[in-house]
Amino acid sequence: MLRKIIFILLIGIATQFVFSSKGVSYGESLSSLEGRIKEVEAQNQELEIDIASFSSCHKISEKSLEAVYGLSMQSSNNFSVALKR
Amino acid sequence: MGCLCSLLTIFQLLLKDKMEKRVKFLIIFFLFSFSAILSKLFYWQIVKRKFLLALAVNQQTISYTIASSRGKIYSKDSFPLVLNQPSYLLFADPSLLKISTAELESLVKPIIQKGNFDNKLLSDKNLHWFPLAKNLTAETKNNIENLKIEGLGFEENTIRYYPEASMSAHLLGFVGEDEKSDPKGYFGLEGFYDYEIKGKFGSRTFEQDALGRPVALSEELVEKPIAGSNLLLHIDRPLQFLVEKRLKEGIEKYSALSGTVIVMNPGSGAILAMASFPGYSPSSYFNSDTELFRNPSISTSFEPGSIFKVIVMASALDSGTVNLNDTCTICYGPRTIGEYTIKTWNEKYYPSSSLTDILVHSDNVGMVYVAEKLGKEKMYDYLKNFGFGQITGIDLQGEVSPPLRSKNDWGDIDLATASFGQGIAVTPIQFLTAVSAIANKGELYEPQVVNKIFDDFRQVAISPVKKKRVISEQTAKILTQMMVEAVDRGESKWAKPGGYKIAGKTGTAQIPIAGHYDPQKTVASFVGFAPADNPGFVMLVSLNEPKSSPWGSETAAPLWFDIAKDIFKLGGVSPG
Repeated sequence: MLRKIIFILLIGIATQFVFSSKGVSYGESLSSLEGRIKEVEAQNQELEIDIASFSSCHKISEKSLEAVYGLSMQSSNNFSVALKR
Repeated sequence: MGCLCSLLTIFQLLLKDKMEKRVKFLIIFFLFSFSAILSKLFYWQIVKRKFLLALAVNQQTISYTIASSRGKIYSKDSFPLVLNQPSYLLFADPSLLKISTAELESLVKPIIQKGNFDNKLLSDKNLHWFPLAKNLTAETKNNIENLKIEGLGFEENTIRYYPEASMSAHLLGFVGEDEKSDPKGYFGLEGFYDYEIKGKFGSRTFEQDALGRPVALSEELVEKPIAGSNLLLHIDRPLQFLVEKRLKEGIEKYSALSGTVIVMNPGSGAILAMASFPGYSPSSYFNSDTELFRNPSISTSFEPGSIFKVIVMASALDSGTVNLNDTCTICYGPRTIGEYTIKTWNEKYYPSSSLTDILVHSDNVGMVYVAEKLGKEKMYDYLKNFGFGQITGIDLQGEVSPPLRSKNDWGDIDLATASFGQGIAVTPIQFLTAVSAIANKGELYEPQVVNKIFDDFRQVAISPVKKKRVISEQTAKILTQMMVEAVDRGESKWAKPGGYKIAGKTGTAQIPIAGHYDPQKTVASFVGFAPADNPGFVMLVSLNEPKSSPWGSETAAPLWFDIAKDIFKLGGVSPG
């Protein structure tokens, strides 16, 4: 009889161990998921800022001015060379 | 013996009586004490329950506010004009610092370029929190963390990021702080839609011990923050950019003090672009003069000058007090009203001018003729109907309306000067809204900047608000044709782009200074819409005190046409 009681108690303890450890690991995975979501959200925010910065009218205008300036520098060089010839 | 017995009995009786009295006294005493305790308990537990409960909760728990993410603002093409970006506050815990203030400054200052390194406070070992610098980027934070200095920490918060830099600053407004140091929108859209954009702050509440440390196994109560709603605007971003660029160039070219441009869709009241200079940068608004925060398009009044003639002419034609075929009977020379003499701007007079010619020549005397026919009562009623003397209701914070002189206060000279836009004050948005009614076949719409309010769960589209019909469709048609003639044959015809049918009117208003008008200081304006028969836009350009020329036809008009050409290109509108 005593053996049976001990056996049942051991089974109970083992079951509790299994469930509690599962619960703990589940909690851990939830928290890591939350962390991952936050990380992805931060990355998205960063990307949104980068894309908006690079494609703003302000930036495009700056870049086009630089390009025009670069072209005019090239053409003026060629022109001066042509004149010398 | 018997006597002794009776004495004993008497004594016993006396003793019993005394005992009873004592017992009674004790009973009364205990009863009283018990009642006192009971009533006090009743007082604390029932009467003062709420107060004590709040006091206990306040002592036992600690609560932190979790900031909500502020809504973003997008232009018509869904491009973000305002975003959020993380920002960090660097603080020191002097009780944990292991290095001297000088060492700390030499290590950290080259990275943050700024900061408060107060030696006295940083050396105070009883201090646990001292802010060194705020608004640091994630990169700066990482660089400081790499130094591995013990006693330094960061607090994360969010600041606004503007991909188009200072573009649309007056329109957007900025985010500052309220009296509790929580973020709060001021001016423009941030101010007007603050409630929708800010969302709902969350909180984290947990129990604390007597020393204020969190109790490890206590229940934590978390109220999640709710992100604010986003705004989708009617603003056309490339157009806004071009308008700002052209306005800056125009102010420089004509040496003006300031300038304003508003572009609106007359059929819906949608604001397509709105710009004023000088402006400020919303990301560093704290470095700007507070006077610059006000949006001149909605917060500054001016005397409109000759552009106002279209409103008076429309009123007179619509009321039937004048007809298109009428000719001016007083246009042969200056008009004297009381002690005042009214002349034309160039002192040229055109006797028997038609109403169209009055607008083409921008004839002040001709307008006095029209206004006298209209009369004070009708003039007042029409001006009220066009929206003068009241705010337009545009969804931007800071709109004002200069008062319209009350009906009984109109003298003859007031009627005469108002006919050509002097002695009457309007805001640019009021005036443009009134002219948009002429462009929109007589129907007046409320100006609107926001098209839609949305978040992850809902969308609220803001429908155009038709206010009323102010003039008949026929009057609007006649006036449009008169304005087309004013552009084709008027003073600004030289600047008009060929092949387009544009309705417009120039204006040059003298600025009232200390009770008189300074002829050298003017507000040069041009208002118009195109294509005249089916307008896609109505636009007002106003330059304050241009130096190269005081005339609207030589400053504001060419600038208006330059911007119009940009709009035609953007909209793919070909000449003809």
